[in-house]
Amino acid sequence: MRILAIETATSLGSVALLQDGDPVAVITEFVPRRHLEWLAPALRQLLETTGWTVAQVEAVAVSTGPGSFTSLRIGIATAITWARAKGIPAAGVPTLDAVALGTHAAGLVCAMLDVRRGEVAGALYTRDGSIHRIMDDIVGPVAHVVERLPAGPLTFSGDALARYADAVTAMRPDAVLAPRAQWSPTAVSVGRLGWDRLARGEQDDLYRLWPIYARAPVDQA
Amino acid sequence: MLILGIETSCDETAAAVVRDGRIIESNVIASQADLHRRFGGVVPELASRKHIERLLPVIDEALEQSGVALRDLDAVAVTYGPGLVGALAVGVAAAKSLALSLDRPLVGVNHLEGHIYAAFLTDPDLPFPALALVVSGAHTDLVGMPDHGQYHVLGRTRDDAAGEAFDKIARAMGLGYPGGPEIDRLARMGDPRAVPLPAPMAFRRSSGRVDDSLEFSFSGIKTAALRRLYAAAAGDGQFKANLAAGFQRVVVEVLVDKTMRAARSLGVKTVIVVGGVAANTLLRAEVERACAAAGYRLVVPPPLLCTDNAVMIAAAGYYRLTRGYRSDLGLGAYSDLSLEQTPNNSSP
Ligand SMILES: [Zn+2]
Repeated sequence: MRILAIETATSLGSVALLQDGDPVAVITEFVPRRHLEWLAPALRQLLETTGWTVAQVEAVAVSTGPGSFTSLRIGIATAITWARAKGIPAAGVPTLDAVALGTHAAGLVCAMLDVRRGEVAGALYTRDGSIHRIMDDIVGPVAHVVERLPAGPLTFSGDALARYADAVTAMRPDAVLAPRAQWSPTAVSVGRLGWDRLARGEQDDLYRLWPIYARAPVDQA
Repeated sequence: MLILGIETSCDETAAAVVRDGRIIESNVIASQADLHRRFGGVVPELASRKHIERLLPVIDEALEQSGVALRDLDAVAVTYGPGLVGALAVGVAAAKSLALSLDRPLVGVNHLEGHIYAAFLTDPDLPFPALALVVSGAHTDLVGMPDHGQYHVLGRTRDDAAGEAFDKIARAMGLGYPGGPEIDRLARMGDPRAVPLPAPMAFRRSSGRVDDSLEFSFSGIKTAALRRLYAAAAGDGQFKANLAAGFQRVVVEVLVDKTMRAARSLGVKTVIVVGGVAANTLLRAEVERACAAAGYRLVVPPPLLCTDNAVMIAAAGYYRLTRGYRSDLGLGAYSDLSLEQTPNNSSP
């Protein structure tokens, strides 16, 4: 199955084409507040590089958050409209899952994304070849997330480390921090996890495929 | 030529199919007014969330009502500003995704240009030069239009938009949101001369000069009306009706006065009044009287085409496309977007 994958939760925009779970082409670019201008041209370029036509794309995978609200909506609006226009399935992928998959570590992985206002969103995974989530997303101050994690060896990853690495290691002196290059979710991870879901026969209702928001709308000035 | 229009600049999620810029095949508007009512105004993040939830259902409905399939469309037109950036981004992303996946031209439309083109749906052959008053909760702009696609902004508001002033007074009176229709209704029961309010030409009194500018300012009259309201006895229904009538009269007077002044200075043939406040019954009556006296053709589209909708976006898109404009996939969304220069992405 030929899959188009879209990742716009963070400032690192990423799009990929995958044949089943294998990446065929990827474009990743630092696009702070420029996702809207960047995304559609990047998708066209991706098709041009691979020689794939729009009609050959068989499914769309998209990162659903948490992340920057506006940029998530740009990715999701693009994904659901495309899927609707071409009559193909779409699979939403939680952004923390994509971070965990992109983190190369054995054992437990805690993925944490910076959701601003002094808060992070975190979730816990076991990682062998693939990932298995063992905790729902927790949103709050970094200490609030870290104190819920089990004792023992644990690898931290995610863009929240850019601001909170010191806070994490202060609370967990045994913490292993993933290399910085693995902190951001990528479209390749989104595409792989999307493929996993699609291969299991799962897909999302396009009319309910919306972002996972880390907080209420009115709270967000 | 069949064009799908998409509009998400504020609190309406709208889609429409328009044939040849003038035949309305469908017009779907999902209003969020109920959601924003308790906040007394539009909450941007809430608006954006609703847009993404309603986007596909609204597009589907517009296609279904028109009996047009996506593959039958010739182009996609979308509002790309001015408006709430996060809200605009949902519509622009969707429009670009359709343009790319269906391989159809994309055309970005200025929201104000869209409002003005509502007039061409009603009266496609209106004679130029024209003058447009775009008056809504977000805008109070006087725009000279020598021909299709040519705009000269002659004046705009320095502070509140006219519709915004209506909303604020209505809110202070404990009326519903949006405030315009509520004030309009209440004003019919009031005496517009009973509550003294500063004349619209306050500038003339304070400086001794005639206010010959085409700029608007509604914050003075709004503050004066609020002061009257707070000084009055609570629960005096007749007082509120009188205040609503007086406030509406003063706002309409200044709108009509400056519109006619601008029309004279340009020597226009047509006057266009569009935007949500164009639904105001007193404004319609007064501008009609003034245009009849001056011999101008007046075009005021029906209320459904005056408030935010996607028909007007598809119509404006049609005129842009037929003049050879189209937007590239790098189209952005802009909170401020000038009518006079359409930045980037649209080249003839
Ligand atoms: Zn408007």
